Amino acid sequence: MTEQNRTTLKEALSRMPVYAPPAKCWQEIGRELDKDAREASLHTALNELPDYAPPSQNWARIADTLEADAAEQRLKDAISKLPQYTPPTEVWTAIKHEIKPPARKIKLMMLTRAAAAIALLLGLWWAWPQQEAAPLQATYTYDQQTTNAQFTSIEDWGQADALMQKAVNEFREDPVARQSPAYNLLLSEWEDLKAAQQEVAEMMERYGKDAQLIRQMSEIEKERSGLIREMIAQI
Amino acid sequence: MPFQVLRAGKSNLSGLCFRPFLILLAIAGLGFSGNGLMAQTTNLHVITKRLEKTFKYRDTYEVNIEGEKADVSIETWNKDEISLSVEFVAKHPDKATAEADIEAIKYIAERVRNKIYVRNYISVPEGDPKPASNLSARYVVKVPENCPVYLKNYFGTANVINLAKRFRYQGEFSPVGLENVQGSIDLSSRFGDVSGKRLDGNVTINARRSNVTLEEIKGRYSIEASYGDVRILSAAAGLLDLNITGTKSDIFLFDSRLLDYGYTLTAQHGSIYFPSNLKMEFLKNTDEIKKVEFQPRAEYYPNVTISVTFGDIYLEKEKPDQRR
Repeated sequence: MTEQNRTTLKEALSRMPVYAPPAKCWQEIGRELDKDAREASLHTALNELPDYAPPSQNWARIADTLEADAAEQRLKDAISKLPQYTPPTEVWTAIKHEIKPPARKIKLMMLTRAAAAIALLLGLWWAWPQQEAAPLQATYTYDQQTTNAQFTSIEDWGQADALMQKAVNEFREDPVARQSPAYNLLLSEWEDLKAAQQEVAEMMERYGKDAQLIRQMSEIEKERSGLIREMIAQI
Repeated sequence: MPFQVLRAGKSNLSGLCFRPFLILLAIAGLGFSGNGLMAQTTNLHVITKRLEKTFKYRDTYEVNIEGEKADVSIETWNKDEISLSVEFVAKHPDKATAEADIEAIKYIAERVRNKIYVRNYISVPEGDPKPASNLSARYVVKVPENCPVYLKNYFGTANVINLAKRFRYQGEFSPVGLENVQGSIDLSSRFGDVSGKRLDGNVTINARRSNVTLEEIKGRYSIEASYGDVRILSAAAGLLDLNITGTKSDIFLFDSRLLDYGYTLTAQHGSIYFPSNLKMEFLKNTDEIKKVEFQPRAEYYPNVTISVTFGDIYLEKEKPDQRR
């Protein structure tokens, strides 16, 4: 198609007013474009994220919940459709007679306190030492005994202590003894026996010396002697 | 033999300079000689304070005894009662001193919930002199056979017979003897020999510096011993398992039916001795460690597992007193 008044049209168009958008419109457009550019990398990253499928039991649980909701809804619907009946007046009267007046607050408090007291007493009864047996009755008998033993004069077990300790110190410092597989064992044994000897001595102090304690002390002393011999053999 | 090599090496280094010290030790006699006992008679006043108490027994009860310097005897009877008979003894040349000292021994016997506690100890008011008398305690405790008993004894002795359900023992410096005890048996002893005859059940023994001697054993045994020997004098037909671990201990198993058991025996720095007809398989056989195994042909058999360090293992058919 050929334009017949091309010049006139052109002139008219050139005389038409020209409108420019406010500068902030361009700014807004520029910001939106920048935003798209920024989010492009995010979208790319999102697309690259791996997909995970939830375990099948989760879906089953969701389905169960939905079904339960649906069932509940069906129940509610059914209940709403049930016919309503008004009970006879005498039923309400009878119910009213059955209901007791509410207990007073003060009575409740007293009951609580009484229950707590009973519980406390029961607890004390349970935990308290119970004298179910007859009280202890002590009877005394007197006797005399002649003994030949004079234990006070045989406290000779500590006589070689310093000497033994010297042997232990030699053993402890000895470079060859240190190589022995029994080195630590022998030293701990020595400490053990020293502690035991101390315990027996304390017992003698508290309960007095008797043949049994002196035998125990002599056994320990023999073991200590054997141990020292063992240590010396390795030096 | 690494030991011998080490010893030989050392004697070259410092044996000479240490010799006078050794001689001195020998002269000193290395400790206790026991030669101070004087042949002189003394008249002692012996005061005995006797107390008795009885508790009704219920199935859930347990008796807990904590003795100090006490000879404790536990036996069973057919009554539904727990009977405690306690004696305290004070000996001193001066009667008044003995009388005063005997009151220093305190005694508790009471039931708290399901436990019956029995305990003796010495208590002297602050500032008062310590007892000068020789003091000791004796307990005779009678319980129904199913009554569980827990005994702690510090210096003294303990003898237990016929308990059927549970017995726990923790002793120090106190030998303990058990006869015909069944069920759960848990013993821990330090400086106190353990002897048992006709024990049956789950038996756990921890013995430190204590010899263990058992006879006619049945059930399952787990024994740990250090610085003390373990002697199993015989096993009965109901033996199920026997596990023994020893440190510086020799372990002896005497039984006429040694071929009926399965064995895993290990000796570190020690030796294993067994009859020649027991065809052991050597798994390790070096100077440091020896390990042998044996399995009998039977389908079911008791397992004997013994491991020792610095000790030997002996399997023998006959007890020492039968070898005549």
